[in-house]
Amino acid sequence: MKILEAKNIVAGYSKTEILHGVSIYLEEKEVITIIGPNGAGKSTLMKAVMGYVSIYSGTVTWKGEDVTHLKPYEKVTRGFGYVPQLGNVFPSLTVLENLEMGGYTRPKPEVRDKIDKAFQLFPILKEKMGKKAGTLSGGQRQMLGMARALMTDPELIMLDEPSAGLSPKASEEVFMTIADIHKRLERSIMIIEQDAYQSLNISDRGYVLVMGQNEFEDKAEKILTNQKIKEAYLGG
Amino acid sequence: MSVLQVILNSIIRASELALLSLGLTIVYDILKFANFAHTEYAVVGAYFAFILNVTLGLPIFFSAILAAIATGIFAILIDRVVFKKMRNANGIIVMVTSLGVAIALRNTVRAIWGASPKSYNVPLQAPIVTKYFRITPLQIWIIAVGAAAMVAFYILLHYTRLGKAMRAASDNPDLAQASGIATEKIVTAVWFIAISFASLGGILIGMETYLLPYMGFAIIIPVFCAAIMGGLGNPYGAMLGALVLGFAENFGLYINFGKLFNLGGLLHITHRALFIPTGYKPAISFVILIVVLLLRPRGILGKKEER
Repeated sequence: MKILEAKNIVAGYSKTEILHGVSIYLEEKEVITIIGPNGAGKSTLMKAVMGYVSIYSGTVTWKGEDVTHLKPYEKVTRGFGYVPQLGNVFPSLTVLENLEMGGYTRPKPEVRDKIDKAFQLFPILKEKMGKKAGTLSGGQRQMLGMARALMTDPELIMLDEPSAGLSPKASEEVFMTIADIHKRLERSIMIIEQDAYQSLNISDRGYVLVMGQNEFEDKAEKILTNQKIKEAYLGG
Repeated sequence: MSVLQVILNSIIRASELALLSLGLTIVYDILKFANFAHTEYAVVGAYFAFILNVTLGLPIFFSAILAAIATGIFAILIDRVVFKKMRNANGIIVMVTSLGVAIALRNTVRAIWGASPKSYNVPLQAPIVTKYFRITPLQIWIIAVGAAAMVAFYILLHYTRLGKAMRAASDNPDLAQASGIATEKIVTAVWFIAISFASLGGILIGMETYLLPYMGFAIIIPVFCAAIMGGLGNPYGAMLGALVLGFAENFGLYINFGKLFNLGGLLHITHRALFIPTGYKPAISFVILIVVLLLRPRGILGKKEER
């Protein structure tokens, strides 16, 4: 069953149109990766789906419900989870407070329970629990960002370039964690990546976005072996 | 006047300023504009308390609390009518709008209550006089209310769900939304808290002196100075700024600069005692403001821009 479907999305910032009719969908428990060159509109697409960017035309459907024009915080209560590329934590709040904020919409006992679970999934966060998030390393911040998003038990997790700015080792760790989350929690995951090998490796399907339009879509392993795509978007 | 008296006067002044500058700074933090109407809300609150206390005859204690709550709600209404439409507008435009709101409030107050001074109906209480200082029960109240408000605000920010959400929204508004925090609810809470505190400040100043429609305009520079000095947007900075300014204003007038120039008798540059004339007291905050802006434009504690 399709959990999320974005159809013919035309969107942008005030008068600059960035997406010119993009369509994607996600099956339940599926992992997809969206790749494409800089400026292709990948982040904008994710922000449009989440409700940060105004959608001029097209629809976003969530489990059969039209959610095109809902605000981000309303989508959170529907089951959307989002980890932005920049500013993925609250820097002046402690690690623990970051997690509490992730569970803002949930009752207190549930939040406590979820925090325990987050510490199991991300042991490093337990060690740093009283530290301000601004003092964490890039990789740790990414972990905290994901842990915060998981606090609401979202059915869909959207990750905007989770490996951006990370060392190869940290980025490998992040993708192992994502694969682990998928295996343990069985959620739908949407990932945007520029350096897409690792991401496609853990995905079921992939999309290639160019100049605000769908360029190509296929099963992830087929994209990884497609010579043309490889040359054009995966750096040979 | 003893040094102890000057210290006391400084703390009293700082308490009043802190109540006002705290609200100014948190509104700036969440709504990203300098609210020039901030001190006018304090005047509105002071006159609300006047209605309750003098016109309706309620005790000043209850009048002050009810007026602070009423003014907080009043600020939310003004927000709905005026500022809400400008959420995505440039901060400069909203600032100019707040200037308009300030003029409207000031003149409405004057139109209703007139330009002559008014006083609350407060029983006269004998000051406590010792060898070193003299303090009125009201001044003790001012310090107590100021201190209690600061502690309450600290507890709010660090130990309540709302306070943590306020800090989250200040840190990263987009991520706050992605956590399910409805920004508009936070904005409403911020207005209420900021303007209730400001009203308490206005009422206390009105009790110590008297009520005038122009009292908001008279205090706007020191309030902005305290907030900017501590780093606009940083609540603890605003408290610190108020404290520094309170001391600067009072010690500025107390210090004999003649002695200072002579390095306490080592030099003989001047034989006269040199004091800053009392009339120049408001200039002290101006000068400090200019020096701070020149040396540390982001204030003493400056809010960090982290990403």
